[in-house]
Amino acid sequence: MKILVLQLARFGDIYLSWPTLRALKRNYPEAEIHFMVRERFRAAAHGIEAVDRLRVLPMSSIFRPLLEGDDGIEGSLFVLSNFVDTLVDEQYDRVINLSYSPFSSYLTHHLACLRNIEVQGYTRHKDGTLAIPDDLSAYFYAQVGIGRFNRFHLGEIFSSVAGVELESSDWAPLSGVDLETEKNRLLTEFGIPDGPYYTVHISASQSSKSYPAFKWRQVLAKLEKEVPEHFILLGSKDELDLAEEIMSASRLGRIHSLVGKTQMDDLFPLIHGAEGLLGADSVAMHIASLSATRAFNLSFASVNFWETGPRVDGSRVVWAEAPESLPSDRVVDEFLSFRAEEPAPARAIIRSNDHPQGFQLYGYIDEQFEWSLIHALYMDGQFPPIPDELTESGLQRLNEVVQLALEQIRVMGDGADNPAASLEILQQVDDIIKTIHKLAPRLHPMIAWFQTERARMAPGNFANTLERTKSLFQQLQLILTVYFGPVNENAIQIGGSDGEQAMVK
Amino acid sequence: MKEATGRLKQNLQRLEKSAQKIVETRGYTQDVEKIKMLGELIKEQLINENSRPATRTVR
Repeated sequence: MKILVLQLARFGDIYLSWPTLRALKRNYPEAEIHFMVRERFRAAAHGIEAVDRLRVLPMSSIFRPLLEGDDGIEGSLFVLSNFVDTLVDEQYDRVINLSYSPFSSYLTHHLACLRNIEVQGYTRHKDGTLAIPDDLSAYFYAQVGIGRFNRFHLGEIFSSVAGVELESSDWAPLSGVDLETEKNRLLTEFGIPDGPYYTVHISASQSSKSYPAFKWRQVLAKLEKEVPEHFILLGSKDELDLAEEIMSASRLGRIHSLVGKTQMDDLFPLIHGAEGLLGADSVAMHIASLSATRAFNLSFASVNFWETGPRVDGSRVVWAEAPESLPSDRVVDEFLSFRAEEPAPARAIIRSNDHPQGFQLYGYIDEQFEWSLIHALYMDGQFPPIPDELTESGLQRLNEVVQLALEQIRVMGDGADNPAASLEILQQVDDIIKTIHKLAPRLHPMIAWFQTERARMAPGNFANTLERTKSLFQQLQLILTVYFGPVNENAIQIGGSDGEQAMVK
Repeated sequence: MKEATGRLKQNLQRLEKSAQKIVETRGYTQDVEKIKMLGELIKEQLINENSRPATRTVR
């Protein structure tokens, strides 16, 4: 068997795919696993032993003709087409798309349609519209991402999409390297004294995720006085200015900068050998998760620590709305508590792999409504009580609009005199649901679930589409009965015998 | 940078027109699919033109 795993996102998502690749290899030891990444991020695909062949999307070759001449389309299409054809020639038995991008969905379909092979992740229908074949990818489409309410870690979502169970040993660093020897070599090479140290990843891929340099300077100036360990700054060449500013804090010579001096592979021995990693949600955080190194994660509303935060027990998340609103004193205090492995202070978010949600929250008001709604919709949990008037009003409007939609579907099914009018009303229903979403944002999980299920409907003839649309509105209606009592008799009649089977799984 | 962005935008428009024409005459073919792929790669670059690529946000 030959399996292609597509991961065309950035460094972080590539590292978070490693456990899934290992689980795939464990489950299918005879399978040849190919792993495809973008050229720019290929360094993150180095050292994963579960991969038999690395495929690299040649972005620069594809784009060169487009950027060099006025008529580069032909040239770019030629390069892309050749690359795609080499993948077709591999005759994969299975494609697992962990990328969630439109490009990857077209590529997945292209590889799958010729041989009708098994596919997980986004693909396309035969008319080119988006297809989301598996429930996990539908969950991803609806609930995962910034500003949403998913609390499953991305590493676990990837494995679920691939249909494999992770074991703790799947979270492991790069193979084939003696990490201790390599760490010692690097410390010697860069003149860093032997002894316990923390690594500090000073930046992240976006400024909204990064703690400002002047605040790092304040934090490290205090920590250098308070604790005996050394601090090693990590980062790319682009961050040399930040490193210089932070380094100006050092008075005792225990802060060292390797910013711009290391390769991606060097991060494993350095982070693996550290007492811990301090940093924002970034590639180094995921390397810490793979290296069994506790992380002290500065996290902001621009990321979702539930899905991309640290994975090692005892790691901590220091959360603030934005980097500017996180005082350096608080970072110092929480770090000292983290370092001492003290019981939770008054306010803390602590990684606990025994906890059902992965993180234990202390001193935070945990707004559970949205997450409970996700549980109810996808995992047969209890529907949560309505939390506020705005949400209640949104649910009422949704209930009304569902009744209206079902009425129009009934009219169309009965052979309406003016089906175009009913169809137009149905289209307006979609717009109204979007408006309800805006007015009652806490209903996001429910509305996104509904909209995703509608998007999942394959192209079909009018009668077929109408039937499936009816079934979906009936499912939503059944959900709403939790809040508004039993479905009225007309609606039951419309729902027919399928009503009971329409419960959301 | 601006020149490259402009060129990409122009090429994207041409690709979209070509794809539409083929779909109208021959349906959704494998050639169209490759054109769509190139179009999506260009869109990703345009979305990320002022920041580092963040492909996972592209859905």
